Amino acid sequence: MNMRKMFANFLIITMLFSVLSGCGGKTENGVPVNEQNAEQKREDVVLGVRGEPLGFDPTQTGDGFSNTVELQLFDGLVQYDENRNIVGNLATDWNISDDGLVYTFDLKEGVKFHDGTELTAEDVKYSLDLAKESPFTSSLNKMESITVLDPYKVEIKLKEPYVIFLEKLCRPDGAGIISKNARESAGAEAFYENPVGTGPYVIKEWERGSKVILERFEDYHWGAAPIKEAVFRFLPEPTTATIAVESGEVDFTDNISAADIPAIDKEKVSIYESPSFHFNYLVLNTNKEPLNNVKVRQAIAHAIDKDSVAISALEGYATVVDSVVRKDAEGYSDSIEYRQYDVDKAKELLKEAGYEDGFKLQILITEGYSNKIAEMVQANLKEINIDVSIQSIESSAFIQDMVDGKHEMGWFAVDNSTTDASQVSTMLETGEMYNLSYYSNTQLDEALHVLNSSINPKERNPKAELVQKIVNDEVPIIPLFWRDDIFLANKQLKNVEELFVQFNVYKLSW
Amino acid sequence: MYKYVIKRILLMIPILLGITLIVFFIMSLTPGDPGRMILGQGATQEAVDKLNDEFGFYDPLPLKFGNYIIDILKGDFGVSYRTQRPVFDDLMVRLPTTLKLVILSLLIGTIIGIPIGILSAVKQYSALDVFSTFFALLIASIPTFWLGFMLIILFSLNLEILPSTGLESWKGYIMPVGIMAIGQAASLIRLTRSSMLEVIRQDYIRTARAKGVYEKIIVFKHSLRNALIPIVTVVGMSFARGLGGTLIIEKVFAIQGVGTFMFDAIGTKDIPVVMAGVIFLAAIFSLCNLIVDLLYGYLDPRIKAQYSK
Repeated sequence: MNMRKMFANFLIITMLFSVLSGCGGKTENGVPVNEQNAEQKREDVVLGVRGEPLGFDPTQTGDGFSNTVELQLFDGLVQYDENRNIVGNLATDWNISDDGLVYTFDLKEGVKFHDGTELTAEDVKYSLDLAKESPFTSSLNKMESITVLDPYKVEIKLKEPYVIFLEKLCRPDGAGIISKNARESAGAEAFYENPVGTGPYVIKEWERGSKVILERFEDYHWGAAPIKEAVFRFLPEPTTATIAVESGEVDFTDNISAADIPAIDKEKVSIYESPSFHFNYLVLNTNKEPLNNVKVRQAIAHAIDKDSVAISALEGYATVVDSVVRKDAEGYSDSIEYRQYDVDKAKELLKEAGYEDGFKLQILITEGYSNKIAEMVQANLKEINIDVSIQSIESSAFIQDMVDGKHEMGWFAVDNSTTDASQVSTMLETGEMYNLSYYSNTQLDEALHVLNSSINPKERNPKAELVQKIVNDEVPIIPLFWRDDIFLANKQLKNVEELFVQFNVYKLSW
Repeated sequence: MYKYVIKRILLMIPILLGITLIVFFIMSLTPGDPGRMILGQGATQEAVDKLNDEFGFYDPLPLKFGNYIIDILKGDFGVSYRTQRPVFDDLMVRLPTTLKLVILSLLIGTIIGIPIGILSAVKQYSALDVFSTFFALLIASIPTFWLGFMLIILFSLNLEILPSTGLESWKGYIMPVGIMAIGQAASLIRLTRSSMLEVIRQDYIRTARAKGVYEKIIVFKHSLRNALIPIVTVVGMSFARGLGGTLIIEKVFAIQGVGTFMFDAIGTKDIPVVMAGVIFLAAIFSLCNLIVDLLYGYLDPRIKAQYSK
């Protein structure tokens, strides 16, 4: 009897201990989370990212998973400051010729690569030559040639004026400067996994299938990063990533499903949101009847309730827009009377067009939230007797079908990564691959050409306004919204907002 | 016996070839192309076409299939379109994780499931039987992902005892293995119970009882061995299925195993990966089938006698 009692007590104590040790067991690098305080700053950060990178050569990768890590390893010639102004990075100064075709950069001296060697103009030429030819960095294909003028001076010639060229150089995941010597001696394949750049972090370890661990580069030319170790954990499921931040296993994630946000405990973690550069719009194929009738297109524009669309697609985590040019872009005009949600007006326009009884229309979409958008559009257009059928196909086939013009109506989204008004030309210019409405207008083309080639605001702004006016009058596309970026982070993590400008872990601190 | 084994192994070749052929053509019929997937929306059509061409994506189907089979016979499963790494290497990175999950959960599930199933059958309609049948039915009806998230909320968010993601330490294994094991146990309880009940009602069991044989011997020697055949089948197939079918658990707990590997490959139209994965799983399935069949022989001498014919 006594023995039995003792045994029972022993069991209870063991269980208690295991539970207690379990509670204290949530540690980061051996330091229990709840014992960390202001004086005892953490030296690491764990970031939950959407997927595993393929490699880290900025010129040979184009996927977001690789780019996210590359942003930490490399520097561009220029960079954004916290207000998205372009300031120097590897270049201290630059000059743009009057025709906008020749850019001359003075390089910062004494910048060290991760292997200790010094950056020179040869490395810049080598890196940009690679980027110029690479199919992964198609925005840099507009470079004609890169010339070394002296060890700290390079000249870049463009094939045609390219207003946002400097912005493209701000992105080290495409235009990052790599060490010529390191890549040539190691070979492209080895370099792909063990790159040498000048960025604030270096690859410490890549645990395939699980995480990439970065360590700060002590000799970084802007000073060593506040956080010593950055761990990129691959958490592809948004709900899983969200829970991981809530439970403290991960300090930050940008992989959040809007639907999960109401359930997040705001006491425990911080939510950050900001309009992204992900522009969502509806395409009306002007080659197809009856969408070739401008009155019909205008009617559709009036019939769509964009607020409801944004709520149903992204729980409202989106910035609804009327204009194709961003509000924060230079040249945005608010003197235009943009089309508003007005069913009566839509009916009237449809009547004028001779389609009072409506017609059948197909909308082409792909995976993800575009399905919700299509459902809302279907409901909206039913009000004006247009019978919409939804066709949803796999994403690469979707792009192919859209580019081939097989759609009548379609949803589409583009990632612009800059506010500049010239960005709209890919959607609207005659002959552009992503002119999915097949709309062609010489006046519009001319205006877009000015936006793309001129840097003079006096010349540009009237053209930007003209573009907005034509799109509003002719409705080749219907702007819907800019999707919001949402971050979820540990409450103690500082400067998280700065990552909206560019995903630089260098900015973070505890 | 050996003859039988060799015959069965040789029979696997046409089976695998057939599966390869079917999957290959299904993958070819699906829309989309790898070039666009890899280069993304911003790339020019020329660049996409060029890459597709390099992959041999535009080659005629019979040629593509022929080349593929020849490479496989050489032991070359090709290079992943997406990662540009040998498919076999990538698969081998993922396989140990999945193997650990499957073996552990199968082991635990069997250890729990079979004894409870036996007890349920022997003591039919007892409290234990009612409870275990109810439990088995309940578990079988709960979707895995729901159970996964509920346990994460309980153990990771509220109690803060277990990690919600990954397999960094032994604690990471508890929830995923537990959920898989409990599902395994539930199906084994029901199967063992019904299989045992069937055997227990046989005449030879009644005869044994009439002879006054100990109940223990009746249950374990006379009944269980005869009842094991369907159980062995299920356990063997669960193992094979588990290797490819832990997808949901992998997704919920952010574990990078074979399931997510293949699932992601389907999404990105990474044909070499999908093909290698399917062939690999088919081979494992066939092997498991063979082992199960051989176990039949061990369990039932009558079946063994047929093998040697």
